[in-house]
Amino acid sequence: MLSRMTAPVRRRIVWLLAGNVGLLLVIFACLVPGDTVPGAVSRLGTVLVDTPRNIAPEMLAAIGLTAIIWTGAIDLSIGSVMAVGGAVFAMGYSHGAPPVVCFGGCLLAAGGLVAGNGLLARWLEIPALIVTLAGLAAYRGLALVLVNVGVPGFDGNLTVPEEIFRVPGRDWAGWFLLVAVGGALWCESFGRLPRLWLAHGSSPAACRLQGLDLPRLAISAFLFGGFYLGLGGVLYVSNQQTIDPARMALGFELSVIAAVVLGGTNIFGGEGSFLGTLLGVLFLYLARQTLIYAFDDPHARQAVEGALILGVIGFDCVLHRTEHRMEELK
Amino acid sequence: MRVVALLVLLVLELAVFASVSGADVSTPSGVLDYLELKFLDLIPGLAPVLVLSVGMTLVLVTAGIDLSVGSMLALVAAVMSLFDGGTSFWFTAVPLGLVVGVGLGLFNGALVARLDVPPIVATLGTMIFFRGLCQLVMRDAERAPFFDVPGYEWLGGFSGAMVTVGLVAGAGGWFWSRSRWRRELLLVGGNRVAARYAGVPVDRRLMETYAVMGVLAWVAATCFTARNGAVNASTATGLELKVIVAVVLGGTRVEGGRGSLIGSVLGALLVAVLDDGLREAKGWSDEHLPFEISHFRYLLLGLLLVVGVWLNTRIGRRDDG
Amino acid sequence: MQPTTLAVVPGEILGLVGENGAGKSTLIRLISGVLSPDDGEILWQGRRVAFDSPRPAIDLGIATIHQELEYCGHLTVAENMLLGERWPRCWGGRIDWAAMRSEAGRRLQRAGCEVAADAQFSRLTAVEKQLVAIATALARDARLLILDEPTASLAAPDARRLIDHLKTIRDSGVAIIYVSHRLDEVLELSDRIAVLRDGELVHLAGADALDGPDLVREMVGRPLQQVFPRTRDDFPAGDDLSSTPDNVLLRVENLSRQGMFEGVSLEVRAGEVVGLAGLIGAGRSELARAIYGLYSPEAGTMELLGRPWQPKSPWDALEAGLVYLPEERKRHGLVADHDVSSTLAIGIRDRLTRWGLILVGEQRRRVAEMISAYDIRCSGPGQLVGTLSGGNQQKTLLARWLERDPRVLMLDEPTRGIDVGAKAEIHSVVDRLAAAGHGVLLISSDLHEVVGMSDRVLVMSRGRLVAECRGATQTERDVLQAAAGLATATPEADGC
Repeated sequence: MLSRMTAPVRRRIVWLLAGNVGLLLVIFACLVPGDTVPGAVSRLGTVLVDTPRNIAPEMLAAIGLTAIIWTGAIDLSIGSVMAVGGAVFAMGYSHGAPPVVCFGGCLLAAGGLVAGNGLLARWLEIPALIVTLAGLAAYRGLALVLVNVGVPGFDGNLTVPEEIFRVPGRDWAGWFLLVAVGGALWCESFGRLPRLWLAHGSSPAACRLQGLDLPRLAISAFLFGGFYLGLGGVLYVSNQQTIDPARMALGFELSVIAAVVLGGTNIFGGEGSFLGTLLGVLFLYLARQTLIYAFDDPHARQAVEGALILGVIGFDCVLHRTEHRMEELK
Repeated sequence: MRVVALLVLLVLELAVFASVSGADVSTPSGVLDYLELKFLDLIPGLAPVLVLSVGMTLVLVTAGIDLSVGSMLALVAAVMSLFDGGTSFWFTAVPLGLVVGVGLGLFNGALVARLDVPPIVATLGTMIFFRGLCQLVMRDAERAPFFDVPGYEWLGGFSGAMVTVGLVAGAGGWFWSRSRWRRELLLVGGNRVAARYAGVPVDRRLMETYAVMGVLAWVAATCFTARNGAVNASTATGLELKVIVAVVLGGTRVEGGRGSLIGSVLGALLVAVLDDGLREAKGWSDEHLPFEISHFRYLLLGLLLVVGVWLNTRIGRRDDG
Repeated sequence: MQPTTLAVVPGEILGLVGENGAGKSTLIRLISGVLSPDDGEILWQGRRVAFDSPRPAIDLGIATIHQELEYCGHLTVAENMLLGERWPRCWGGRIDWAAMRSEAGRRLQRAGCEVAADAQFSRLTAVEKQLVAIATALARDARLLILDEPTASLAAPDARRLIDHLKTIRDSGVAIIYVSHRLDEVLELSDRIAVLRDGELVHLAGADALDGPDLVREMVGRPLQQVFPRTRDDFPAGDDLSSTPDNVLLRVENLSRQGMFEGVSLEVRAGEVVGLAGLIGAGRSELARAIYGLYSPEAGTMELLGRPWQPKSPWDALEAGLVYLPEERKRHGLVADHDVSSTLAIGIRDRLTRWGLILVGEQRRRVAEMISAYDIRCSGPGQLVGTLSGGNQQKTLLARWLERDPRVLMLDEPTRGIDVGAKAEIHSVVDRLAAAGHGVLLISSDLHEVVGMSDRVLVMSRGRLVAECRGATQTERDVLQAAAGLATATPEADGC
């Protein structure tokens, strides 16, 4: 697997490994003052134990989005898609459906919308960028419509107190992650489809000339992405006590894109790795945790996070800049 | 051709919403009265979107996009709202607002032109970053010093809005259509490398474009606050989508290299009439529909965006072929 | 394209020539399945076939190597070669990467190509990429190999290698259709030659029955004057190269930029055409770009029109009277859906502007003048440049620079991919420019062109200026030897 990655992607993985270790040390350093060393270690342990369930939705969505970006497309609507998933879940729950149905509905709705994005982009022959930009708004509206129509007496948000709904997101998150992420990594190492997705992003013309079915290839990436996003949606919804479709997963797409780009995947497609995405998501999560321990002001949080993401993306682009400029002129 | 189609759509829209709102349009004088009312009502509210559409057309021509315009407007308005009302407002808050607007625009421009971040990603990031700054400035408060400023409210009224729109879209548009700057931007958007080889200072032009967007965000912020009088942390959320839909409907292509200001103005009118019509239909919808009409607006806007781009692609293909 | 009937037999090379717009590309695309014919039929081994996509054609054994090589640069050579096929798998559905690598290696070896199967494709050199493409085609048991301008981006030694290779392939029973503007290669390689003109097949004969002028005449439909017109006086050649400060337009001394070129010194004098020859990767375009102001050299000095020259950007060059016509007109020069008027006007935009506004009437007038003066064949100033022929596109790009009346022109592969007629027109323009006292730096990989058009030829190899050929030594053979870095019998300090 590593041998088939391009050199910049390999380098990025090394940097991220180092960066993640560094962030863990920084968090540890923030925890030490005002506590004993063993106490700080145990608190760090708590942070780590909490990580899977907090990171799972983003991790799974990021892996899904990575596949989509590899083919040269993008999906800006994933936050709104999660909102629709939440709305469907709420609808099921408010009518007394069992957990399986509620979560199943959420998964199908989210996965279906993402797959639909791909189909729509292909059918109308307009860039996925535009379709998903439209979806960013439209799906949020759809979620609100669904929840106002489908949930009797909806007043802005819905509380889900039963413990059973918390099981997937809170208790089983780690297992979900293990299986899903492990599956993705296995696919990348031993599968043909991921390489074909990269080929599609690298040169669609070459793929066509070699006789590959481009539309099917592109849509398969959206199906994969949809499935992973759907899973992420299920875990997200299950990790919350209240469902608020107007505000849930707002800005989600940006942090996922940032994680994918940070992980070494080229935003224009053709190169990247699931391993890098994994490390990228972890890095952003740890960075966010570090900021929480460093800054206290809740009003500043969004600004700081925005600055962090811009910094990460800007840094990544600057690295490619000279090479990009020279290549352009050729 | 596109202009005619847009005008026809506009008339259709007006007709639909006239009937829904129960206005009397059976007689010519009734139609005129209705149109006059609409016009007087719409223009002040339309001014921010229209002003921003002009800027967005420029950005799209360079094959870029700016998703942060709503947040820019909000942040500029927030900064201006920190000052007390009174005559001094004109000399302190308003110029400062301009500086902030230009600064934010240059920030976008720097990300896109100097750091080579793709515009969609850069402005998605600044959309969230600027909104975060806005939250930091406003906290949970809502400030409304604007109506205490002498002469400010005039900007929000019909004549004030007409003057602003006339200056920006009319005079600005005329200059734009004949300017050398426009030719260079068209080349930058059409083929960036060819622009470099032709001696166009690509980075500088891109910075200028986003800076102009920032200035227009300031203009839009003044129009907006002159009409609404107040600003809070979530002002103008979702505005960018309306602007992009307006520009796309007007015929400007997302890939760059082509653009039409007249189209964008008409597109902005279409979107404004739609918005207004949906709001007026609230009474009707509360009776007949189980959900709020405002939720439907997002769906509709998304749909319009897809349809608009699809039409552009279809028509573009026919022209080239 | 008009109804055309053509037949190819195994073990023969059919050369296909014609001006741009004659229908060669259309014919190729019809045979390879990219396009479907409106009428008529394709018979493969006597059986009627129809292709609705490239796939069926590939399955039958028709392999096409297009002019613009398409490949997935981020993937390995092996993956590119086997892209459309089934990949070898082990137990559990895993891809057997080792088997893939060895299969690809086997195919490469069979085609005589020494490239590592797990190298990243974008890291190969141009000729290696071409050879891998041919190896891929052969491995699919191609019975018919179609090559569209395969040597367009190759310099002489690599082209030679390819041509010899193709002869071997032909001898093994494969049929080849060879499309090229390089008539000498077509004459050497082909067993029969087909000439297309205006979408019609106008001539089909054995290669022995034709020679260069015959071909040109058939292609163009009228006898042509020589392709390298020369009306100006011979430049004072010989050893007495008097360069007075007055007549040196451009001087470059010891110019270096790491990874691109090193220690390059040259001069272009008024009324002189200086040819700059070399292999791909020699650094010629990079040198020109540095002179033009697209990037700055790390060492050395430049002088333009007698004054020190340190451009910050191409606009400095344009204002100072130095223009550069880039190699790739589609990628570096044109916007396909802009019209002729805008494309021309951009070149003189500063002359058309007052107070930041373009004088529309003035633009209309100047554009009409340019279209007639430079004989740009178009339906009008509103025609989209993307729909012009290659030759007219190049004329448009050249015209807008010429209108600035520059003192020095740097032309990079000005006649690549252009038909003979337009080539001759551009050559006569260059000749007229030199006669009028301008200086021209002509960068070209076409040996005939660079030797035939220049007053003297500078040769670059691997970033350094290795030789200057003039007078008696200004021949294709000498230039080629210098470019390939081969020493001659009597080495001179600066000559060939």
